[in-house]
Amino acid sequence: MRVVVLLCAFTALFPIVASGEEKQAGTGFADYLFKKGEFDRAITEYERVLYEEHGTQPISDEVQYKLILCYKQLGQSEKTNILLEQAIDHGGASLRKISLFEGGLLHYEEGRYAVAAEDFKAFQDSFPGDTLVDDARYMRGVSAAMIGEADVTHNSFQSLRDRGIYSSSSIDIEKELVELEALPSKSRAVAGILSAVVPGAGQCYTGRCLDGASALLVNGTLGGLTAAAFINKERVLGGILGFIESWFYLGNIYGARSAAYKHNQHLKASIMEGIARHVHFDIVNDRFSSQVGAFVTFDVGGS
Amino acid sequence: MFQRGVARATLLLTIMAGMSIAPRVCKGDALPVLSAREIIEKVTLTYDAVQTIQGRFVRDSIVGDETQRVIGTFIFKKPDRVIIHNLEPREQDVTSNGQMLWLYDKKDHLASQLTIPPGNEAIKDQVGIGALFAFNPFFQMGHGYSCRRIDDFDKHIVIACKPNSRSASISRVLVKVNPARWTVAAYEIFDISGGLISQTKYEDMQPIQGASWFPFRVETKLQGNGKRFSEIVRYSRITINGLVDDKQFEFSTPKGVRVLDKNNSINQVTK
Repeated sequence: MRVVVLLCAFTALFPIVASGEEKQAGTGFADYLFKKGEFDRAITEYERVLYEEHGTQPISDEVQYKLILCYKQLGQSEKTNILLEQAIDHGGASLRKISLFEGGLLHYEEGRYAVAAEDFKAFQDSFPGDTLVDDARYMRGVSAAMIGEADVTHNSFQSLRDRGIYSSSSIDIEKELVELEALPSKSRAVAGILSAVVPGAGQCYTGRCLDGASALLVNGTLGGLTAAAFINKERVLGGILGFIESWFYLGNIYGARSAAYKHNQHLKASIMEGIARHVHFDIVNDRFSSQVGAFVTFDVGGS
Repeated sequence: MFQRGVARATLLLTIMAGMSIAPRVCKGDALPVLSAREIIEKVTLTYDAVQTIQGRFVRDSIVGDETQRVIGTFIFKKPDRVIIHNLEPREQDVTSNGQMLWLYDKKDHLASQLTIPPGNEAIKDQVGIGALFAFNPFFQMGHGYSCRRIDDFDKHIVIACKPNSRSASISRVLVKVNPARWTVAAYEIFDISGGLISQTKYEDMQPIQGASWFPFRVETKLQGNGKRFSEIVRYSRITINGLVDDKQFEFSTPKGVRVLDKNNSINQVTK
């Protein structure tokens, strides 16, 4: 009788043990492919594991995140974003947390600062007591700084300025933002008006005196020739020269306005470069990676 | 003795087989026998349960080969309070408390405000509010349509609605209802010559907080004057009936922003 009971128990347990080994083997091979950098094949393997697991958490959460990493490594931003949003919506607490932060970092790296700032804000709101909350606060401030939103940056950095690893960076970035606000920008309207009165004066106002001098020379010469033609009663020639001169004159005004815009953009870009130099992105990435390491392990069979 | 045993076993097997098949037969594919009015009431009840929705959206507008994408977040509170914060391609906010509408462009430091005339849905459509939250076509049709149930299709109930007014440019609206959840699965609008004007599908229905069902993908196709236009909205991070303060729907002008009053054309700058 005992033998029969033992046999029954073994028969019942065997499929569970066997399937457990099967799961390990499936993830292990996918992880091996991931480590080898064969992300396309790793995706197929992770999808297979997900299919076999029927969405059993937390295994499926871990595999889901590895899938996201594969698409990220392949540079498929669209698919990565779709999977991140799915993970945020349907994953367990750990996957949601990691995906939200990952999304913020991804958008920051892509230069999509408004979306990144929104992601880090959502992280702050959803996980206020998490170990990464200061990092999220910092990255939100940095992302806002990159789009010139000084108020958001100021509020985000408030608790970071006096303590912690982001203290000096926060202070430096805020200094750059102050410079951005006090930027000696050139008015496009003033530049245009100046060039309308004296051709080339607007260009000189924006610091491009050489361009201004050539504009003055061309417009002066053409204007002089036009006037001379009319004085000599050569009206047809005067009309043609006047027509040509009018285009050069309008171009001179447009050029002055454009020069003012370029001047402002150049100044802004140099400030933004300064901000980017002060960002401790590597520190954020390292701290985030250690959190990811606690959530995701790659089983490559000791190789 | 043996024959009686076989007879009992056969009877038992028959009963067991009957028990396993019965629910399927009973359930079958038959849809509830309800009138159009009862169905509309049930659908309305489903959507009435939703008081606030907030989340993120990605809206792709496709005209020919060109796609324009808008990414943003939204908060919607019944009956008509809305905040849409567009993050890309340009940071813009649309805020409405039901009576007033504010459009704020962060880059230009410019805000516009206008009063919404009662019952004017066109303004809402212009700023994308209508397209974002048109989940219940029965609500949009109001009392101006007469509806009747027609042939069921693909395990869905189909309701055909005709406008009461003869001058309407619409001949009929077909609404496909999912009787398992009492949600709208799709609807189609036809012009007076019977041609299809638009088709909207609510896909990827998922339960939110284990209760309300929400379409995470809404696709709309429009046809007219030989041109085709389609719009796909994908939603994520959805919260239904979360606490939303009414004060959020009052626009407070940020420092240094120029406000254009579109009603009176008065410019003013907040200091």
